[in-house]
Amino acid sequence: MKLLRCPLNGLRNIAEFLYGGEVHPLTDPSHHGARAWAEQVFFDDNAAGLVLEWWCHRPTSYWFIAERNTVTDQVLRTFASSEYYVESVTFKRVSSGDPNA
Amino acid sequence: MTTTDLMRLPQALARQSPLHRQHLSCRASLAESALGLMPARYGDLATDTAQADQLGLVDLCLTPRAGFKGPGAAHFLQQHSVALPGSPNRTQQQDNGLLVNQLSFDEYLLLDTTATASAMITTLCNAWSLDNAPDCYQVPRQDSHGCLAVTGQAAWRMLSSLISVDLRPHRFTDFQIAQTLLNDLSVIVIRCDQGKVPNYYLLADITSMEWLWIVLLDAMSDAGGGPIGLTTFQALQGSID
Repeated sequence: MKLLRCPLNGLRNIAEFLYGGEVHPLTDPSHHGARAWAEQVFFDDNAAGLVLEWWCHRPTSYWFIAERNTVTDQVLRTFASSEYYVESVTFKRVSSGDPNA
Repeated sequence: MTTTDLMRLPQALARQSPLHRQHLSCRASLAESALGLMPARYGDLATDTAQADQLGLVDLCLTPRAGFKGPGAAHFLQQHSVALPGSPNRTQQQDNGLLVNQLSFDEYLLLDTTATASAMITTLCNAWSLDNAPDCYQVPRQDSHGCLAVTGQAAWRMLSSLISVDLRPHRFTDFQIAQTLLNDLSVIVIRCDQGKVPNYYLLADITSMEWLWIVLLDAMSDAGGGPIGLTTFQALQGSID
């Protein structure tokens, strides 16, 4: 049985978790065009090696971050997202422009 | 059906558990209480008590419960003299029998399975408002979740066949909580022994209660388990000293 350690609930069967994609640093959407922003939100780097990933413990809907080696499939550590996003960020509201810019 | 029956208002009828049909099919002795129409007993008291000690299943869907969450939830509850567990996935029992279950860093589930602390739950719900409880939000646990109890010496072994959490009595101790999946249904498992009888509360989506009841009865049939009434369960609670 494959196990993953949830920072809130401890070691659990992998079937209790949901993969949520790679963790990307927050960037200001007003500095990008719509296409670049879509790539930022939806595209992954798919790197071979150490990556940070979002995981969710389904019974508690608790989202956290895991550091995983994609070559060996070894999870090095899991931690609360508050350790990664340490400060609240507010972006300026921008008017909608050309969606294909 | 007579005209008098048709003219009865819904408010005049006793509340029924979502498992009412199951209780009728199991020939339970139903009794009306302040909570609603509940199964008092399935057999005589001695048979029900022996069942509870071996492996029993109790319907607690109508018992009072409430929830509070948010960064201000702990402060709001402490303002009203509620003792908190102090860490997630732990339970703190109050003097009046109320169970305060901490589900995450800032979420609490209040459970009154003894039906002796319903006044406290009502007081807290009435005292809460967005203005006087900043950063604290109410969670409608009474309507969103149903509650069952699995009692008896064989309870942990039966539950272990359905849940992939280590429930061995020395690992999953009294007043500990596990939030996990049971056949892909999200469940909250709370261990709270009744005297010398091991007891596990199970909370899950209220629309899944009938399915969960049937699954649990099926799983416990190999170990001689069966349903027990609320009167028997409350007698167990009375034995706590």
